[in-house]
Amino acid sequence: VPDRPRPVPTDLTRGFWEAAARRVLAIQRCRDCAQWFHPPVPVCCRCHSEDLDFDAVSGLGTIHSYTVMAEALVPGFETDVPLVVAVVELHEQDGLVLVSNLIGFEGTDVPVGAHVEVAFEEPQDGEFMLPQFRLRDGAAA
Amino acid sequence: MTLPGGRGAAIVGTGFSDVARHSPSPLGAHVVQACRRAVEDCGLTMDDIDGVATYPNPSRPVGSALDGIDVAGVNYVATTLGLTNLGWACSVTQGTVIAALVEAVHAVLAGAARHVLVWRGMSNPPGRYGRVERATAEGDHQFTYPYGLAHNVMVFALPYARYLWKYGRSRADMAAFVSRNRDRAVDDPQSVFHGRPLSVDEYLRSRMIATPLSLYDCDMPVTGCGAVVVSVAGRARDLRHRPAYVAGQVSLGLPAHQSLVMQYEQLAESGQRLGVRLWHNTGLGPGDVDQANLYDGFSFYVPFWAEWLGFCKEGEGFDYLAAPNSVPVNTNGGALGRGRLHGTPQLIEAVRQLQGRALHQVDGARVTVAQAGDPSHGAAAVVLTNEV
Repeated sequence: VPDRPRPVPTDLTRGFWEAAARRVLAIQRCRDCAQWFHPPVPVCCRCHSEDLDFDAVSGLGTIHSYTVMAEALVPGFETDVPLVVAVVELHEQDGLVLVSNLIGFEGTDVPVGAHVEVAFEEPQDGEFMLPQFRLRDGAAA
Repeated sequence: MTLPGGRGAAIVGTGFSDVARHSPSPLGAHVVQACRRAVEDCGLTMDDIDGVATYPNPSRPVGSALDGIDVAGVNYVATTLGLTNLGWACSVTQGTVIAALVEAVHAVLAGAARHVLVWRGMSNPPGRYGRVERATAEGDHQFTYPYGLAHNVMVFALPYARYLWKYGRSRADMAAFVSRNRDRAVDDPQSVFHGRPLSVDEYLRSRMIATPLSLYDCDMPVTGCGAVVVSVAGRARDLRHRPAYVAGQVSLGLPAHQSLVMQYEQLAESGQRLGVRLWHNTGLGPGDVDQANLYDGFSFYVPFWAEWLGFCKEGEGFDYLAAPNSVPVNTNGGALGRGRLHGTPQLIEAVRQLQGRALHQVDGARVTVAQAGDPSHGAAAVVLTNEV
């Protein structure tokens, strides 16, 4: 099985990965108008400020959508089929979404709208802690 | 000058190349074939062509992009066809063939060209389609690839899954449309599914690729090309076939909000904006349309675009497609039936219906619409009429 694709941080994204290494979910935020952005942007899309930095978020959200990879389409994930990929909308802002794999979730019937919380997956390559999400107790949609 | 919608431009010729899952000929040969057929169709010669426009992007996310082999841009076509009278050329970066067509219409209306050749070529070399083999995830991909979200079918499944949840629908609601759509391609030798019907049951049992998208929700990758000729209306009348006059056009389909992945609600907002602008530009409405050609790179875009262009309300696209009195949609099988040709089935059928030359002719068709692309990577639409 080939290695999974490894993130390549840039000056723009390093804050996200450095926080993740400390088991903190941090998202880029405009210092002037408080809008959140993911992925990080060079200029605020709302007020056009260049003063942006990373802030910790609650780590709480809901499942916005999902897909289940039914066959080995992506190198590095051959042994994970069927692979659940969920889109999580954070509580902090409408439309602010991250991608996750739903840690501890069995099956493929993903409950859209269900409440989730951040979890951190030990890095496979000894380098990158990957922010993930899992269903909260009593999280039914 | 009234722009657009002046009936000052018309599509006068159309041509498909031969289409194959895996062709022994390079893409460049298919593009030459389609372009020659389109020019011959209207009775012009290559010496008449003084403009070219295409959407040249590679047809798959990975691999080489050699001009004439993997892609076929304006440089390749100008030199291979020997277009010595060329005076205008354009490559668009979004919105596929109909966005290229819109620029060609603009060029004709502005007097920059008289006869513009427009094409879109798609290449499908051997190998696993769309497979991304990368040890690293760069740019925005660093937030998706490490989770396995690294294949286009998975990426496009996300807004569709959201729609099905939001409106309480399922794949069963799609089955009848996909099966009936296939029927419109099986009797056409230029379709990749020529002679191969698809029952509702076969659709429902087909192999799942990325939930909720199964094999037959995806257009089949092919090597092939579609091409058209756009002419200034004053010249169009003298050519071989009845012109399909351009009543209005729009190239748009871009989201207004930044997001890591496509979100259904953002797509709908962008698609609806395109629809509003389209009817504003044409002075017509969906009720004037006799036959519609909606993008079907994935099956779900057909009900989505039926909603976004105003043929029905949001959330009612499946019901609209199933209704007996709805406008006939994708009467040549679209890309789901003919093969992955990026909007050229839509564009060419919209013209042939107005010329009375369609294989599945809608009697008395006077107004057609052709639309291609999605509201995240760019989309475009054109309304055509055979009445001046």
